[in-house]
Amino acid sequence: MKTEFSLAQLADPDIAVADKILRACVHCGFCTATCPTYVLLGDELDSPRGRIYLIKEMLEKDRPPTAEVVKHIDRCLSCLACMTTCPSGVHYMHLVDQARVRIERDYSRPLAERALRAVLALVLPRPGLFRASMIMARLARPFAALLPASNAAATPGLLRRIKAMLALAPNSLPAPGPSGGSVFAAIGERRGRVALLQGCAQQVLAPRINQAAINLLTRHGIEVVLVRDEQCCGALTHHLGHDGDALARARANVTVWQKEAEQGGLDAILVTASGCGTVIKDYGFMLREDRDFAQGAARISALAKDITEYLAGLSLAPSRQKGDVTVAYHSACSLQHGQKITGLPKELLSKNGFVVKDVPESHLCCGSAGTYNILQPDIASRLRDRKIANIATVKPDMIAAGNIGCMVQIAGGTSVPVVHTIELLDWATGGPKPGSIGQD
Amino acid sequence: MAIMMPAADQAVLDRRGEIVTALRAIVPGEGVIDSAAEMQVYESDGLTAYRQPPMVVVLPDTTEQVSQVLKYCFEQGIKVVPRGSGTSLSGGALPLSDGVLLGLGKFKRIREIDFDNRVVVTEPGVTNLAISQAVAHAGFYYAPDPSSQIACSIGGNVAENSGGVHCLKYGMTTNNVLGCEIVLMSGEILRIGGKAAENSGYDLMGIITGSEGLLGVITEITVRILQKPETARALMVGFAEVEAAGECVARIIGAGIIPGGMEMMDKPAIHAAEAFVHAGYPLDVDALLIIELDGPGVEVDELIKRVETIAQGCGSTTCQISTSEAERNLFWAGRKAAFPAVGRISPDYLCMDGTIPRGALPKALARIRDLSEKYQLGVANVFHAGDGNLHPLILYDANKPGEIERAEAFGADILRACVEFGGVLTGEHGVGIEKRDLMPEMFSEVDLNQQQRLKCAFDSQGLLNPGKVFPTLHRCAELGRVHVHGGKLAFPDIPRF
Amino acid sequence: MDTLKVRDAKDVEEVVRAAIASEQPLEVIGHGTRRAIGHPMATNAVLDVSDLNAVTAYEPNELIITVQAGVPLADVQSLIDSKNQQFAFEPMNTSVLLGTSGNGTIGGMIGAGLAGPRRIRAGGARDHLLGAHAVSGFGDSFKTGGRVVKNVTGYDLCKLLAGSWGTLAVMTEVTLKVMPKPESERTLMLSGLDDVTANKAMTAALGSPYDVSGAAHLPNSAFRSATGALAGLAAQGPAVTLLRLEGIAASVADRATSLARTLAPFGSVEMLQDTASAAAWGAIRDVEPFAAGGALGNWPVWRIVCPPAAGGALGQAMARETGGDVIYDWGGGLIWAALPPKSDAQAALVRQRVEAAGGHAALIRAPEETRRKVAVFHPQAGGVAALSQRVRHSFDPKIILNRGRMLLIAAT
Repeated sequence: MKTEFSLAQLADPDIAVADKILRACVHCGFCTATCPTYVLLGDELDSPRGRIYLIKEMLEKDRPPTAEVVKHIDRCLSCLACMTTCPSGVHYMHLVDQARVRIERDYSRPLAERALRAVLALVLPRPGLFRASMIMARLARPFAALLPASNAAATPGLLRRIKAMLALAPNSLPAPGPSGGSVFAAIGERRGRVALLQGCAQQVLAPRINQAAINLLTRHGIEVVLVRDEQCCGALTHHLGHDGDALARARANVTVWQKEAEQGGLDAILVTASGCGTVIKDYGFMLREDRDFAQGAARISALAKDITEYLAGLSLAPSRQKGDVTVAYHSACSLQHGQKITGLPKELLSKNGFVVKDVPESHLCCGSAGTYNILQPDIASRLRDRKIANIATVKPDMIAAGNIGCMVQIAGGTSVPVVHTIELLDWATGGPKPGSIGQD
Repeated sequence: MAIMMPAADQAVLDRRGEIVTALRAIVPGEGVIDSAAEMQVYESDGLTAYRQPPMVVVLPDTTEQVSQVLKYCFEQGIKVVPRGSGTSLSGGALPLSDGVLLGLGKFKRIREIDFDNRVVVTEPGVTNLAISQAVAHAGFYYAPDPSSQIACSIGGNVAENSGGVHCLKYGMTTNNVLGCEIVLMSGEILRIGGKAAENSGYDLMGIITGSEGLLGVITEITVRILQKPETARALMVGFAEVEAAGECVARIIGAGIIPGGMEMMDKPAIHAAEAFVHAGYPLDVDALLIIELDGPGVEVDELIKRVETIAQGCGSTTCQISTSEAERNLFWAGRKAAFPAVGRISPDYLCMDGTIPRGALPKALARIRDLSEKYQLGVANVFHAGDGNLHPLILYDANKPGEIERAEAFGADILRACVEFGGVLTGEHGVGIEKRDLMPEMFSEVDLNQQQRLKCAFDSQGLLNPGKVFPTLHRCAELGRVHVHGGKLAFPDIPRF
Repeated sequence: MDTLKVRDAKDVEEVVRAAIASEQPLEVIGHGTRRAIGHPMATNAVLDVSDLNAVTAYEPNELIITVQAGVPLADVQSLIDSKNQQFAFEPMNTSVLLGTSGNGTIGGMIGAGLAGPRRIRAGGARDHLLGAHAVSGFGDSFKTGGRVVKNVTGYDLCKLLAGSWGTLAVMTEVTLKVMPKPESERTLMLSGLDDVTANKAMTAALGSPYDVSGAAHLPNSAFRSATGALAGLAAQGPAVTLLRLEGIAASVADRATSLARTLAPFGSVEMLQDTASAAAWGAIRDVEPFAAGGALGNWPVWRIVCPPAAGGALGQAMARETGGDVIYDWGGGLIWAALPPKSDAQAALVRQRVEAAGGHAALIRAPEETRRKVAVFHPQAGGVAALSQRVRHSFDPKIILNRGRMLLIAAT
């Protein structure tokens, strides 16, 4: 498309990147087809093409974001289905990330909303605080019935969002897993050494996911280290537009991982939450202008792998599965669109004796999208219900996914056990049979 | 903007506030959009060279709302521009500054799938591909497949009479639609046709299809679905010269073979598509033919042999035949995304659409080459070789002064050449605003008047999408006048019995 | 009544203008073979275009033929046949049903829009008319469409001309799409099925991927007057359901086997090949069982179009209630019904049943007195009827052309 930035504007490296992205867009509209909000709402404003247009206008005119622009950008799930669909190679992710930063910086949200977002940004990335908040949520849950239900209001109110948050809290919390600094030796001959991202929400809600990963990896001769002083990857705050916080975390992680790589050697940094994986793989871009961290970040991004990517390179022990478990594979957006990992997890499951079924409309987000299911509960629940209905058509025994957010979202609406892909692979190669998430 | 649109009605603009209020009473919630920032995303469809924010955007949920909106606008003399997915390449959904932009994006339900009668009844906002996906489990599909099928709406397809790769064998939208529910500008809701193969009386469905949003707003459509052929395989054949490829096309048709699809791409188009899709397109050929043969396995095998022989007889330099469904789709993936893939080699492009008799293909391409020289703009050619429908993609950079004007002049010359070679201005994208001013190249004033009179039968006030398709607007009363010539009773020199 | 035999388009313009000036409506004919279809017209003179009979251009490699409207249909068919091409929509030869001689002109073929069995696969006349030059009821020559298939330039007026029974404009020259003739054909026959079961069999066949190009059912009563091609089938005794496959020989053979398997639940199939198959379909196309020269020659005949899956039940009930005979084509979507002669051709009953099934009915053959008082073409719902009238007025405001033919009350 034609862009109208002045030379002065283009001197800003972020604007230069935005200009390049905008000029790649030819306004063809293919992206609207796979955008979950456009599919639900049928309004160009809630489509990638429309958002691109709004962002373009905002950046070109260098005006503060308006309430309307914020409303539509807030509704974006950052599922990145549009990027998979776009034939012109528009890097929508980088554009909307920029827009969120600008909104956070230049737009004054209503007080209640600001407070809620601040609490989310504070609590979610800190396992200790998150754990405490989950306990409180469990206590508060009986009162959720008093909070307003879904309505057609343009922007969900605070109480509506709190109700959504309470609904997501699990009935019980599992005991915490191993802490940073732990090293798990390979069983038998050591063939490799990896760091395993500890995550933030995942280690509170489902430490068994990483436990399964550790079991599987060590069983196959891979030493696993949980790097000390590793932090939340920054995805949550990044998507809230809190760039400062996100970049600080990125830098901190790059530092500790580089140190670990230098000291003990790392073949890869494995991630079991694909939402994190996408961001860590983007560290190189996020820190490209930071003279001190650019190179390190690029190296770390290259080292980062989703656990299924890494497993594809290992020859796994023969499976004990007899082909009598039907698994609906839920393709997390961050995995299929963000990291372009589509067939790999399914092949792994299928090779290891599971009957794998694709879910209809698999390109559509389940509605979890980080904090989206809290901040946009009505759209999130519509997407969740649609996803669950689609999954039900294949009548699975279990639902497998590669991202904790999806697992919590989907488990909230079905009684079919929801597990992580790695748990199934661990089970197939000698580990225990996994139960559903939230039922430990 | 180079194209003149009907003059804005200041009286209407002055009442904008009151109009917005009235529309909000009909379409509650978020369905009425009137802030400048939000309306802006609706200012253009797939033809980005033209932009015009509307006076207000209305996104109704139900047919009843559509009817009430139109009725209100009819009574108030307010113009209306309908919009589907906004993927039109001819500016069909370009708003008017004093008009309502009526978006059908919320009409997203498939209402009925009837396998026994082999039809699907759908709302207009459902995408073309979604219809095929909805019936795929039973081995059916909806045949017309414009390249934008992932996103384009079936309502838009009906308005434009869209084609696509497979329309060579399976027909265009008009050959695959049996009925509709349409709301006239007066607000009147009519049901035309249904599940029967043809209607009684005049073929109103036939005239509504391709009417580019000028005759009514479609709120439901009944389409034919076909059983998928047993098998489909594609050949990808490269030629050192475009003329050889054109000859191959002619010979295939001449041999009585009607392929499921037969497409041609020239070198620049091949390169752009390959960069996106990595299908293994040969990068050193001047023309690539992708020919699809579908039907029973035995037939496809036989036809592949015949086509291969013909291609070799025309001097093909490369030939690949798909061996799996995945491979066949890969061959097509680049062609189907060719237009936007060109976005990788050029910031902007103007996608032309004209049809010529197949035999004139080499002549037309030679002329396009000459024009490319004349206007100093690159061009990538993609076309439905099977039916002579050309899509030259004129590459330009809107950020460079003068380029868009040169691109438009280039495009207009191409279309004039199409008419000159015995063809027509537009094969499937519609006239819209893009080719409106070229209509006199093809039609005389009498021809155009007859078409406009038909419009009067549907929209006597001329409020639905004025400024599209026809270069001048006439008052219906003026067009309806019969001129009595001479008043003579009989002409003596005509033989009579 | 004067017959004005025009020589060219200019003549047509003059005649129409004179008719407008003197308010003398015209009956437009080619050879007049289909004059008896529709209401008796309220016209004062006959405009005869049969001298506009040149073949302007035939381009087999472009799959098009451009002819003047008065060219005999039979002549065009043998011309394109010589190049192994055909009108894929199988235009009906109305002479059998109407007892006229000859099958008229190309203009009549288009104006009548009566397509044969292959309509289910290839579409109707309206899907093959690419362009036309015509003179409107304003007395002006106009053109619409073009000479190429892919054409969306302006409104598709050709669609209105097809099936308009000459009431919108006088065609002077038209361009039609031609298609290659199939190399071979074969017909699968099931016998003894009742109408509803036959309908299911046809539905199964048309829902298969075997590219069925003809699906018809002849109840056994249809054979009482069997002549010609169907006489042989009559020897079967019970009803016959026919499914046609066309294409290259190896493909047809292969598909026949597959289709037979699909139809196994309905019984075993017998085969008709090539000429025998073609003859049978010709007889179905022209509704031979109800031929004017046959046993039911003086029975009124309805042409009913309905959703195909509803045809069997509809036809069976109607035959029972009216005492008439029916034959089915288009997989059940086209029903020809010959009814015992009654002055109103049982119109009310027929139309009520047909409408309930989602279809429409036209009284194609009936004595003139019947056609004076019974609506020949299916009455349309209020809004659609009004729109159709406005459409007509946009072509012929003074209702000069074939006045009274389509609507029961002569419109003014």
